[in-house]
Amino acid sequence: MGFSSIEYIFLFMPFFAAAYRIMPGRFRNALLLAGSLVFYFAASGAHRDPTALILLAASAIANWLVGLLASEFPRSRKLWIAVSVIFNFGILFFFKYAGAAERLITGERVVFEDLIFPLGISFYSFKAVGYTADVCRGHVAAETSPVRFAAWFCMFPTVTAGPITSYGATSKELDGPDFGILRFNDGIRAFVTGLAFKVLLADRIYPLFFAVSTTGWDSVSTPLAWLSMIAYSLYIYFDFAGYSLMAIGTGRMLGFELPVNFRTPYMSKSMTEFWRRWHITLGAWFKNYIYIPLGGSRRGKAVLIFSSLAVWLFTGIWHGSTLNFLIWGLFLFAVVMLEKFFIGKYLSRFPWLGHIYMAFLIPVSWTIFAFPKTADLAGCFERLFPFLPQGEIFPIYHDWLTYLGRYWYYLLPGLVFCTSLPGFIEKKLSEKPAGRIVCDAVLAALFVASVWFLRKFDSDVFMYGNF
Amino acid sequence: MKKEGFRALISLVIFILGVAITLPMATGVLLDKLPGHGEITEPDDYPDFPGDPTDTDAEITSDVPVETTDGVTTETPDTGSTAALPDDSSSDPVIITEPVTTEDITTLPPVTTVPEVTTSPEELTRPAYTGSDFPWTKVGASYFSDALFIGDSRTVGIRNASAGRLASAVFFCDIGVSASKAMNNRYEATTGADTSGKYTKLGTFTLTDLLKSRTFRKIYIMVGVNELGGSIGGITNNIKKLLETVRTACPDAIIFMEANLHFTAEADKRYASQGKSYMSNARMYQVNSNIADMADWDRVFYIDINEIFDIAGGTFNPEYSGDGVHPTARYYREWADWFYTKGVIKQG
Repeated sequence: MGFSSIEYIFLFMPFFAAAYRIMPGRFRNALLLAGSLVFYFAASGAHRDPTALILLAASAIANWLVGLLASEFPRSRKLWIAVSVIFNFGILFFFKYAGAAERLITGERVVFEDLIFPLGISFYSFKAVGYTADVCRGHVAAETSPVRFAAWFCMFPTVTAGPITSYGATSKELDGPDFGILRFNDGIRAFVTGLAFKVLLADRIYPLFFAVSTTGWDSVSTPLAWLSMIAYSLYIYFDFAGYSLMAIGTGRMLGFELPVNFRTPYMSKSMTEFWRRWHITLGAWFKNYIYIPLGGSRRGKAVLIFSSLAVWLFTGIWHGSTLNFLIWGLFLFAVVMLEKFFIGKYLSRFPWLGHIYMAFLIPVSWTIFAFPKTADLAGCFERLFPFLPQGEIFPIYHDWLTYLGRYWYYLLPGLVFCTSLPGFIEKKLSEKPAGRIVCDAVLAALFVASVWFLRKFDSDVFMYGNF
Repeated sequence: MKKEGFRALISLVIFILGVAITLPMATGVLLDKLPGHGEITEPDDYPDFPGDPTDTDAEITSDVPVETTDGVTTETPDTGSTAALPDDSSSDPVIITEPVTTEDITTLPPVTTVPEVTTSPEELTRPAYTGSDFPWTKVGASYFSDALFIGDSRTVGIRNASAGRLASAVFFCDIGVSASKAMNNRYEATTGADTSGKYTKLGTFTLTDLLKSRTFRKIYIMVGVNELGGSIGGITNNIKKLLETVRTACPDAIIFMEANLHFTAEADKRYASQGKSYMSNARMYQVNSNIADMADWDRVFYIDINEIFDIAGGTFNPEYSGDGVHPTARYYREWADWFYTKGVIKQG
């Protein structure tokens, strides 16, 4: 069960929201915890394999305990942070890399062949370490109530794929929910927008990329290769931004505000700016818990470079265990350093230059990200840049025209919704009551369309649910 | 306090009700009862073959329209046709034995194969070919000028990516085609693609109309994968009906029943983990085995692409595929080449 499923939209959410609002304040966290465990049970397929669910529960208990210990023995705070890091990242590392490590050592994956990847572990392990660090630094008091802690740790709007929340901010929200109609309405709007992003754009655009990438790159023309990587860029954005909006919308419908995760990132004029607008909570986590503790930008150039390298390396390997993710992380590091020391000022002085620069860099960066198999990565790059040495090629005549003909009515709205234009229009319209009705009517239509597509095709699993 | 307790109770009731209603649906526990899943015999409800590209008509008509007359247009592919023919050294198929017999499958639902216990006179005199030891003839491009390929997305792939090897043949295929759909629905008939990937559309037909519109002397049929959700017996019967339809319409034609391509081991596992365990190599072996039994080796033959595409263990070679289910374009070309090694020449 994901957010973009019939059972979540029409069954789980309405029942849970009703129960949550009726429940008296002091039992709400318990209810949120119970609901979250049910959600996680369904989402992780616990009836087939309960490992992920057990791990989540164990992790919640362990991290709660470590938080208490850290506040009991504040002098050993370095120890507690180390414990938290080793425990949380150790588990994450194990599930993420055991299979890859085995293949590296023995050449094939046998022992860890069937190792499942626990849903959301990349996200909740980061939450956990952030919490321990906040307690040790004195930013937040350790939570004494296991229920209250676990409600935050496991809360279903964020457990699958974030936003990565901090305990301090979110627990405040949980304590004083705003059940007003305005917030609820904003929640519905965010949720429906997110649903439309996922079902009407991401799910519909993805088959273009999938079909091209499974054709065999020696049979793909250069224009089609570019088209497929642009499609991938749109797909990954609408999939993840859609999910995040649905999470935020769910939170609002339950009375609490979750942090924004995306701010029209494709409108950025530099890669540096991009990573402040894409997966914002992840970037914030890296800044607060890696970049700044390592020295950041306040101790000279060498420290800055070192801190940045650490951040981008971790960013890369957090996203995946194959070599391409490491290369991707290093690529981002190189680009960000280039901008910081050389070209950044030109990009900000000439916005049009920045936009063109990013229009090229975004699909290229996602290309490195998209292909775990080296052969595919090389094949795609050869087709993207035909001046590179090529093998034999047999492209189908006008293949890109065919795909364009079949997908333009999803690609074009996709491009439009990457811009700030729709948001701007919505804002302007919402200033007047008649305009608000128009907005609501449009959202209602999008909702109906999304549900129709959901019925017709299964909605594909959230891509970032794989991380 | 009492009011709070009452609210808490109501809230709990709503919550438990919600969980009770949501969980079965979310975990798919009741999914077997829904149409399209598990053992059913109605083939027409099946979802399209997962992972298919959603394209059927690639495109562009050629400058020279191909007439749909009763006569057969014998167009051979463009210049370079000698280069397009497979050379002798690469043609011998690797002979592998059938990897799994029905007795080995212990975890599957009961197998309802077509009963073959009765030994009719036909059975006794039928030569015991399994396909790989039949004396095939290597043929040239003109062999396919009166050939018809009927099939699903794999046949679409062959059509699109054969780069001129089957340009003179007619293709009657689409993504999602099953035996019943092939018999009942209308599809666009086309030629095979030329060396630049262009093919010609020939109009929309039902199968029977197409079979009446021109004389086909070789008919290739590959269906089955899109109805794997049904019972093995049901699938087999549907394919038999399709075969009979074709035989009746073209009594003089040679019919090649093609084995369905296997999945890679990874795709097999992936489907199982998605709750689609009916999409499995194990079931495919059974279906293919039943298709093999339909051959009489006189007019109806059986050819099995897996003999060159499988790796040890009887699964599709993952090097040849992007999605575990379809070959990449390069291997569709090899598939087309392989047809040239499976010719049957009949006198009369």
